[in-house]
Amino acid sequence: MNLRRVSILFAFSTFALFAVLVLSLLYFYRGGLFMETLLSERTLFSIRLSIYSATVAAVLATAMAVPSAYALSRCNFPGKDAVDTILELPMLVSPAALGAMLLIFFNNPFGNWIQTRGAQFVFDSNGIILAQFVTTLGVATRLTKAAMDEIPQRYEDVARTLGASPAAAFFNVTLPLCRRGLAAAFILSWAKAMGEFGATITLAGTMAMKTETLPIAIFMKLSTADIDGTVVLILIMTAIGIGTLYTVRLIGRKGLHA
Amino acid sequence: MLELRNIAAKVGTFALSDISLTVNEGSCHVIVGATGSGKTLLLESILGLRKLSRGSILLGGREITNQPLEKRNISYVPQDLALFPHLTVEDNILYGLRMKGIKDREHTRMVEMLMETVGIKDLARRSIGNLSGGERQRVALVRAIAAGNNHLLLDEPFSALHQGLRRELWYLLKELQKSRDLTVLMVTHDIEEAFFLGDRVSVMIYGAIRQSGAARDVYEKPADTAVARFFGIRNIFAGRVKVLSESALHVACDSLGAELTIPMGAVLHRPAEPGAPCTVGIRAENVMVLKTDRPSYKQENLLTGILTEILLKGATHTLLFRPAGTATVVEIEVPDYALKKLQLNVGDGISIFFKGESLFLLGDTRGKGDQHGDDRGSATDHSGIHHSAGNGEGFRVSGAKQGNAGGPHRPVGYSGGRPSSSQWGADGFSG
Repeated sequence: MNLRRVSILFAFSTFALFAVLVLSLLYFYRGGLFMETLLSERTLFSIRLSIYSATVAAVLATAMAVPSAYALSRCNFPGKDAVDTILELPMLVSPAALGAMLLIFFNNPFGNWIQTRGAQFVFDSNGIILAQFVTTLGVATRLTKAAMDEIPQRYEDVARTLGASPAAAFFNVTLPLCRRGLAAAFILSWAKAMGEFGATITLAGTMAMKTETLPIAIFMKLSTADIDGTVVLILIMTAIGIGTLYTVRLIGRKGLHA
Repeated sequence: MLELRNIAAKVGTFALSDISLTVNEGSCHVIVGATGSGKTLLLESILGLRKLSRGSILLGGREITNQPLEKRNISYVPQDLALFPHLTVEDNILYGLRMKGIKDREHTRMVEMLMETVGIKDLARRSIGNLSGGERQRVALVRAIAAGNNHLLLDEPFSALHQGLRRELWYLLKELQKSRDLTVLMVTHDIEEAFFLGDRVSVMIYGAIRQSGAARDVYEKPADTAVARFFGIRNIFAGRVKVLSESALHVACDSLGAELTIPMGAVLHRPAEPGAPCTVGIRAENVMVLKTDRPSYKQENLLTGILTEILLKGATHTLLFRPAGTATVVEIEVPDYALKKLQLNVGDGISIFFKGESLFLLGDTRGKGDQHGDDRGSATDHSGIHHSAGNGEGFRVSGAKQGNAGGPHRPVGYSGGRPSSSQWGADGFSG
């Protein structure tokens, strides 16, 4: 058995592992319940809320990631290593701890001031977006930086010798050149936000028709021992997630070649 | 006109030291140096990509030392060309005009004509990824010129091309430079490229300009041993000034067992005084061979000895010659036709002749106040420079290589270099 076959075997084993997990759901699958659960107002709300909050969080994270990734990729500045290291914070602490940190922040005077004068975050749908944004920002920045590192600085230098300002060189040359990496950063951030649970539930709670995202809805169903309902929600979430990622991947193949 | 005044820059432990250079309006100045000599660093410093630790840069008399890159009006073609891969050929070329907000028809027509001249008009809609090496170079040149900057910095733009294509592009660049009156500063490691393209040539070694001057002068009279070695000149001999007259300089070269006479007009560096040590060099192509069985009326700079080796190459061949009573080896380059015409064998007794005007005195032991050229950079000797000619032995070959041993041998003809026919007459072959 040569290396090629062994590696392909491992790739299929990975696929099989996840496929078995999905297929095992079908043991508890009841067709009638599927449509009933899917079309229920509460489930539709969760789907809408999840997609909306994940999209907003991923857009915000990517938008913030682009300038900071540029600084990390192109510039040397005091504290660069500190910034680079702290990007991993959401991965180092557990999501629940991250949610707890957010909750604690909004209970200090400054956080309280934001809550009273600005937007409400604790036990609010804004909290979902914030929790997902904080969770995905590090990943988005890391991936965007990796994409920018791939683009030689030389392109920008030459663009500037041709008369482009630093900003124009960035927007006309570097940004279009790393669009694939940027798209990947957005997609992964979105997927991570869609599945985010720990930080979301800690900060926003589990209020039905208010802060109940799909992962939270799954948790709520399971906690009431509603296995059939849980299976249906997991299938819905899997279908949305995989369907979206696969579609984006197809579009990427056609239109985002660098 | 681009002027560098005593500029210095440092990256890690490598430093550019005290570089002064003037690139005249409408001329092409080539800096030639080995890989790692600091050529790219110099260009980056001129562009403002590297911070200068000292010195100033002037463009047309206006100081641009602290100007942002986009305000310097200097186009740059890096070694990898940096063509924007997400844009078409046309969009690459028009990038500069668009950035400067120039939209008038006159400029657009000028760019179209330029593309036509260079032969890339048909490629306008092509993506960069679908271009050949030569097409890419052309696009990069046109993009740099189309931006409207009259000053161009070129960083070995032809180094990745094969010889034939490279030569084609040399002609193209020369034509563009002359016809559009461009002021070009180019760096290269290719000596032939430097002398082909450069109106003036500078030699850069270890971050310093060792010699600058008109291309012909630099070619014929390397300023010091390091420069001569960089040009691949191996005939470098130590000697001692014997007589210093108004008309000629006589140098006693023990390593050659001969006295060399150099006309004063051909001497770039005036030696200090009689008795002073000095170093003399000559290009292999300027050494001429005479068969000893032929009468010679030339006595000056004439050496007799043995032909020890014939190295066949292609258009020219290398002969190795050992003057009688010495272990020194003199390298001679002869054209193929000359080698064929005259019958020479390894081991033959032959004479060689150094044309006085072709001999050069290297500046390593020069007196104070000597100048390499009018816009010379630092002439400070670097400890890293290889002064292997210091012992004045030229280069030696092992005993086994001398005489008849080794190398491809066959009967050969004679001649070295470019003697005039009148000068040589029946003595030898006219090159």
